[in-house]
Amino acid sequence: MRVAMRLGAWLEAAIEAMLRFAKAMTSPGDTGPDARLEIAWTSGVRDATWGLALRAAPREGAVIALCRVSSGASRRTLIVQDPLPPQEGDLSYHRGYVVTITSRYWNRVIDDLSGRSPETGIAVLHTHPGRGTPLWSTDDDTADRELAAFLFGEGFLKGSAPLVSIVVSADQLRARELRWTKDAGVRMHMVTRWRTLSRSRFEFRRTADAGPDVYQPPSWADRSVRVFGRDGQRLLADVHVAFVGTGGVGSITAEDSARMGFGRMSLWDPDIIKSVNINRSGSFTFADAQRGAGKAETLAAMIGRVALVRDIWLCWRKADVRHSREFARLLDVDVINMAVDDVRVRNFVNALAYAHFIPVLDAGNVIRSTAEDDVTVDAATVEAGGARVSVLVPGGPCLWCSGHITSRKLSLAYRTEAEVTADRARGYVEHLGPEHAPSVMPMNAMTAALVELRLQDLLYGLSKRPVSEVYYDLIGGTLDELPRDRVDGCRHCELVEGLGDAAELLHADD
Amino acid sequence: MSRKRVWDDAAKLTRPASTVRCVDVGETVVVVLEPFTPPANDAFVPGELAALAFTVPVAYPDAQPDATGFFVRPAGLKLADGRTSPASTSDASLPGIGNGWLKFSWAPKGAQWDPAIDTLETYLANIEARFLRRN
Repeated sequence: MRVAMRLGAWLEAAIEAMLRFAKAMTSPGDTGPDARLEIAWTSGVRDATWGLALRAAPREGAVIALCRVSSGASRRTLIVQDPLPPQEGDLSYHRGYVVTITSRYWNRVIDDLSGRSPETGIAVLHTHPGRGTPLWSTDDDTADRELAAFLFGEGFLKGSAPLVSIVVSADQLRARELRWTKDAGVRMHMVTRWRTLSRSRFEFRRTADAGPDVYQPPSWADRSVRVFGRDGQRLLADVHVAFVGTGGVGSITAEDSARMGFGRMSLWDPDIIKSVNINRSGSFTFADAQRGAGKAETLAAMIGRVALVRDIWLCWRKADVRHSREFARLLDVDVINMAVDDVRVRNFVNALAYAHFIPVLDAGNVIRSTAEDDVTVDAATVEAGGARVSVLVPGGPCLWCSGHITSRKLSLAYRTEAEVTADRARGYVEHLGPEHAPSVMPMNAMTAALVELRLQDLLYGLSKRPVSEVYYDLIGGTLDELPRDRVDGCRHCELVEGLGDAAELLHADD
Repeated sequence: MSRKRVWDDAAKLTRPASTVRCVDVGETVVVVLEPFTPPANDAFVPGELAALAFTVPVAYPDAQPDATGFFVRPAGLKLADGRTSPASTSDASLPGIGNGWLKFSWAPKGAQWDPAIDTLETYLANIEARFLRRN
């Protein structure tokens, strides 16, 4: 009877996991007109639009900004940036408080647009002073329809460019994308979520048009609800976090994240599990290594068994995340945790973070030991070691600014294993590094913990400080914040920031 | 930043009597100049090389061309004495092209690669400068 019960429980878990995979693998669809709509902006742009417009209270205020699109598999993100604040005479008022954008303001915006790429569109934000959910008035509806018909109809906006109407109160935002065709006229599509990014905080909020958040934290979330409250647990359930690299650090971070209560997770790793992975990873077993199981697949199965959110949305991909067929799925996520050695992947995801407004926590560690090139030695000395977590977010420095990616490191990453082996045999090629990087569980667990703590800080706004990089020194035993600044005109972050679909990213199959 | 950029910049490499061809190999492009006469060619036997080649990642110019060296033919190239091989060289296979090459493990010298300024032309000029210095 006991055996039967165990078998029954095992079967139930297996069926549950299979159903979860089936759900995950059929979920991503093509981006179409009905894709989920979200807004993304930096806190600086939010303040320069929403914040500025609110200053007109008790009258309505208005600000126009530029807008570009990031097209995911099931999410279309409207990236709002480059505000064009109103000047004297740009706004007029009816009945003393209802704002109108004058032709003078529109002419300035149209002039600005003419010098930009055809994918560039417009976001028009106006305020309804007071608190609570703002409602579009009949006047707003009429004005939006006329605006779309004019801008698209006269060719000032190309068909692929976004036009967004945003209305805000003192504390809430609603928005809709206005699309126009000659035959169908104007159609309005509601924005259901907005993401505000800064170096000290990642905020994800639903609009009133998203419908009620029905997620109820389960009783087994008791201890963490006592930390961040039920809303704090709901926040995690609403965040889609991706893991690029599910090896030593990534596997631990992903499993912990599932236990914390993230509601949607996507995993990318092209590798299979080997026996040498077991003593420095989470989740993996020698049986997994024996059958040559994929890392992402195996981790997903574990996550299905331990996730706090029992109907977690899971997607795993045994693939190089740089491949073009993976791209749309990656653009659906809110935050990326990256833990990979491959500089090509790190360079790709680095650019994506800025171009598509998807923040990244990049983690890595290194140990220098006298045994690193010879596993036959009995005595070894650890000479140095450290773990690092860098935050890549629009407005902040990127991995190039911080020197973690250089032209030389990137060049070396494109060499095949055969070339590296041949150069090792030559013996006089410098800076090739050890054949296999030394690694131990405590350093990977430490790195994973730093990633989780940094993400927790950024989601809940604990420190309220911009911390671009933390570094743990294995020998010194110290944990430091490293000063990192953006390099002016950096072509890897500043110059691609917010370009969305217009950004040229180098896919592995290009 | 693309394979096309490598091909376009390679087409701009002009050296007397040399033709330039590109071969796509995985995520790199191998640029081959045939023949190639190095500066100070009296230091080598033969003085004119049948070919000079180097690999360029498709992430060029963000990624610099091969940071570990370049390849020449004939593989039996010697110093002017006719017996000694140049320092830091060895027989090599050039990925995607074949055997019979001599790899010069001569990393670029001088300022670090700057993607905003440097091109295949500056990379090739660096190789030529090293031939001129004979190391």
